[in-house]
Amino acid sequence: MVREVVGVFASKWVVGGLLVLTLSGMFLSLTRPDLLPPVQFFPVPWFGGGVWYTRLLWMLLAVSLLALALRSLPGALRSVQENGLLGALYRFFTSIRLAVVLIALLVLLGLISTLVPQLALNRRIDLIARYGQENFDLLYELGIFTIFSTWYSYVITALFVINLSACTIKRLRASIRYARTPMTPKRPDALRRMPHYAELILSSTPTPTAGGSSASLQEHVMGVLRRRRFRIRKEGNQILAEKWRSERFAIDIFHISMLVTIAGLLITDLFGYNYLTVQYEGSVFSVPGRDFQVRVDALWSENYPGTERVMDWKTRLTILEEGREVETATIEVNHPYTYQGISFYQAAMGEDWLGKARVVVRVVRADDGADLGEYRVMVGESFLVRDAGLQVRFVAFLPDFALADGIPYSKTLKLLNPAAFFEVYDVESGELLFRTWSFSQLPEMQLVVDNPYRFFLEGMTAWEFTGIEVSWDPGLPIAYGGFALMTLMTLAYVFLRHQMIWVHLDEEGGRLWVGGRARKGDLSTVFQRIVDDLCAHPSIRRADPDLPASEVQFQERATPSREQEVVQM
Amino acid sequence: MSVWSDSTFYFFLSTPAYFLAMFFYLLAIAFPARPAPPVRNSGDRRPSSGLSVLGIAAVPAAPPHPREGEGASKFSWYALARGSLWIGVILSTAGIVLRTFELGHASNWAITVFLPVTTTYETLTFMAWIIPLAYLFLERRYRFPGVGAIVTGIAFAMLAAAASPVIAPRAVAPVVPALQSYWLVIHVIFLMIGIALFTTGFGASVLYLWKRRRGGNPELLQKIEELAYKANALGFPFYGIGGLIFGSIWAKEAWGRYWEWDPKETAMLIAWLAYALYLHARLFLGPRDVRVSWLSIAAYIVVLYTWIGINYFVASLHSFT
Repeated sequence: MVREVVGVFASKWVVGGLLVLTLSGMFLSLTRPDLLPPVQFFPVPWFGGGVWYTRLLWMLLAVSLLALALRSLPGALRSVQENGLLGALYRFFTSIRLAVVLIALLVLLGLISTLVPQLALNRRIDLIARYGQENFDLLYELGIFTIFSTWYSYVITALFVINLSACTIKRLRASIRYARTPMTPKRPDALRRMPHYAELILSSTPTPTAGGSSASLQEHVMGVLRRRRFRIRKEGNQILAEKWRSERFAIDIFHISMLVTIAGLLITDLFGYNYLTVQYEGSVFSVPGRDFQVRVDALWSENYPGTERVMDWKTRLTILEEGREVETATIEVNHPYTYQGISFYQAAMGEDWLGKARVVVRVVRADDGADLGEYRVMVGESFLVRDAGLQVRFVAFLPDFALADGIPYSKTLKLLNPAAFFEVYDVESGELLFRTWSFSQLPEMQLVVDNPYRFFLEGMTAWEFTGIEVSWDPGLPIAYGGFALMTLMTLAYVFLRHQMIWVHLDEEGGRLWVGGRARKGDLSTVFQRIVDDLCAHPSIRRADPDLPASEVQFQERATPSREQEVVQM
Repeated sequence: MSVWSDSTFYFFLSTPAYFLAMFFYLLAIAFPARPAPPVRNSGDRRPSSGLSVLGIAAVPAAPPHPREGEGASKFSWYALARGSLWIGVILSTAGIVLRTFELGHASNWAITVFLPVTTTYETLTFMAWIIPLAYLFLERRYRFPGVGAIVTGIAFAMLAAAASPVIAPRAVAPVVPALQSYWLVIHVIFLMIGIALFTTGFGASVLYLWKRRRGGNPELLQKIEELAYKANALGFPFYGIGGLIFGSIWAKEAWGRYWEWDPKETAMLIAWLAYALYLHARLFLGPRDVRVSWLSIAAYIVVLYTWIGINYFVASLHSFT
C-alpha cells in the first residue's frame, strides 16, 4: 500500500506536473505580482501563509519529492553496502544525473535573477515600487533579490564544484588509461571495419632495381606518414602511426582550469574587495589595507565635437604618500589605473543631486504673503529665517520625485521632477512645527497645503561627482591563468584529435591495407590525402572497385558505427 | 551623400537576396536535382569524386537514385540558392565595411579598432552577415537545402527586423565611452560566430526532427544530426570564450569586476550551460535520441533570448543607448 502511494507520487508524470505548476506559478508571481502576489504564492507562515491552493501545491510537491527520495533510498543503501560509504559517495558525485540536476538548478537561479531585478544593481525603493512593501519583505526574506548570496545558492554552487571535481578525477583516470594503452597491430579484416579504410594493390612484379622492394616500400609508407608528423612504429608487416595522443587530456585540463578559475574568483571574494566610491573635485580618500591616499585633482566629461553625446569621462588622480605627491594619472572609461595592486576604474560621472544638491529657496508667510527672503542651502544643512524665528532644515532633495507604496523616492537620478523636503523648527523652543515637500514644477502645491509658511524652489545646482570603482584583486593572476588554460584547451579540443593509421603490407598477396581512426571527429580529408600520397609510389595503385576483392573474404558491414567513437569523448 | 556610399542601402539590397536564397532552397527541396553518384561517407573505397569540394555535388537531402546519375544537369535550384546567398553576403559585406567607416567617422575615430556592433541595427545586420557565412562554411560538407532554407530565413528575418525603424533605428550613433575598447571587437565577434554556428545547428536540429517524424532514411538522418552536432560543438567554444572569458576580462577592465551577475551575463551563462547540457546529453543519450535535438532547439531559443529578448525585460549593464 505504502509502496504504491510512494510509486504514484514519485512517478515522473506527477513530479513533472507538480514541478511545472510550481515553476510557472513562481515565474508568474515574480514577473506579474499584480496577477499573483508573491504573498499568496509562497506559503511562508509568518507572511500570511499563502492561500489554500498554493499551500496544497507546495505540500503535494514536498510529498512527491519525499516519495522520490524514499524510492531511491534502497538503491542508495545497496550502493553503500556494495561500495562502502566513500565509494558510494564517489559514485553519487560522479553521476551525470547529479550534474544535470545541479546545472538545472543553477539555470533556475540564473533565470530568476534575469527576471527579478537584483538588489546589487537596483535600488531597494525601485523594487518596493514594483512589488509593494509586503511582497518585497517576503521576497527579500526568501533571498530572491540577492539570489546569488543566499545559503541555498552557495550550497548548490558548492555541490556543483564537488561534482565537477569528482567528474574531473573520474575522467582523468580514464584519460590516463587511454594514454597508456598503446596501439596494437590489427588483422586486415579489423582494418576493414574501421571508419576509414582503403585497399591498395601492389604491383605484382617487385623490381629488384629499386633496391629491395620491401624496404623501399616500407620507407615510402613511413616517409608519407612521417611527413605528416605521425609517430611511427613497425610491428611485423604492419606500420602503426599516430599523433596527438595526449589530445584527450584537453577536456580534463579544461575542467581543471574551470576549477582553477573558480579558485581565483574565490580568493578575490574572500581576501579582495570591490566598492564604488563617489568623489568630488579636490577630495582625498584612502584605500583599505594600503598606506597611500588618493586625491581627485580634476574630473571632466568630454563630448563628441558639436554634439551632446558623451565621448568620455575622465578623472585625474594623484597618489599621496605621507602628504607627498608620488604619481599622477588620468583614468577614463575602459582605461583603469593601478597603484600597488589597487585598481581605480572610471565607473560613473554626473551631478550628485541626491547627496550634494544646493537649492535657492524663497520663504513666504502664508497669511499675509510676506516675502521672508531667499536662502541658499545644501542638503543636510539648516538656515535661519530671523524675521519669523524659524530654523529650517533642508532634509532631502529628490531630483525625480515619485511615490512607492507611499514612500517618496527618486525614480531616476535626472532632474525631472525635483522636490525638496524641509523640517521647520521654532528657534526658541527647538520644537518641530511642521514638515513639507516643495516641488519645483508644481509650486502651487505649496498653496494647497495648510502650513503657516511656504517654500518655493527658485534654483538648484549640484556638485559634479566622479564614481570610482576601487578594487583589490589578489586572485587575478590565478583567474587569468585559468582563463588562458580554458581558451587553449578549447582550441586544442577543436583543432586536435588523436589520429591513428594502420598500414598493413602483404606483399605476397599484392595488397596494402590502410585503416584509420580518430578518437573523435572526422578523419576523411587527412585519410584521403595519405592514401593519395601512398599511391604516388610507382608500385602502389588503387584497387579497381569493380574487380573482386582479394581472396580473403571479409565480412561486409553496412555503415561504420559512430556510437563508440562518440562515447569515448 | 549618394545612396551608393550609404551602408543601409546595401543591407536593403541584401534583404531580397536572402529572401530569394530561402525561396530557392525551398524549391530545391521540392525539386531536387537528379543527383550524381551519391556522396559517400568518409573512408570511401573509391577515390572521392572531387566534385563535392567544388560545390557541384548532389544534394544528399534527395533520396539517392544511383542509376539516374548520368543524367545530372548543371542547373539546380540548389545552385541558384547558393548563388543568391553569396550575392546577399557580398552585399552585406559592402554594407558592413561602409558602416565601419560611417561609425568611425561619427565617433571622431575615438578608438582605432571599430566593428559596427554598437546598436541594435548594427548587431542585426552584422548577424545577418555572419550567419550565412557560418552556414556556407559548414555547407562545404553538409548540403541540406532544408537547413539552408531555415538559416537564410533567420538571416532574412533579422535584416527585415533591422529595416523597421521602430525595432532598430538605423542612425549612426557615436560610440559611448563604455564601448570604446578593442575588447568590444574581440568579445562580440566571438559571441557572434558562436551564435551564427548555433543558428545552423538549430536549423539542422529542426530539419532532423521534421525528417524523423516523416520517417526519413536513417543514413541521411544521421548526417543531418551530425551537422547539428558539428555546428553546435564548434559554436560552443566560440560562444564560451567570447562571452565568459573575454567578457569577464573586459568587465574587469571596464568595471573592475569579472562577474556582476548582470542579467545579460547570467542569461549568457544559462545559454552556454544549455549547450553544455546538449553536448553532455548527446554523449549519454546518444545522437539519435529526440530529446537531444530538442535540447539543441531549446538552447538556441535561450541564445536568442540572451541576445535580443532580455533587453526588453530587465535593465542591464549591457544596455548601451
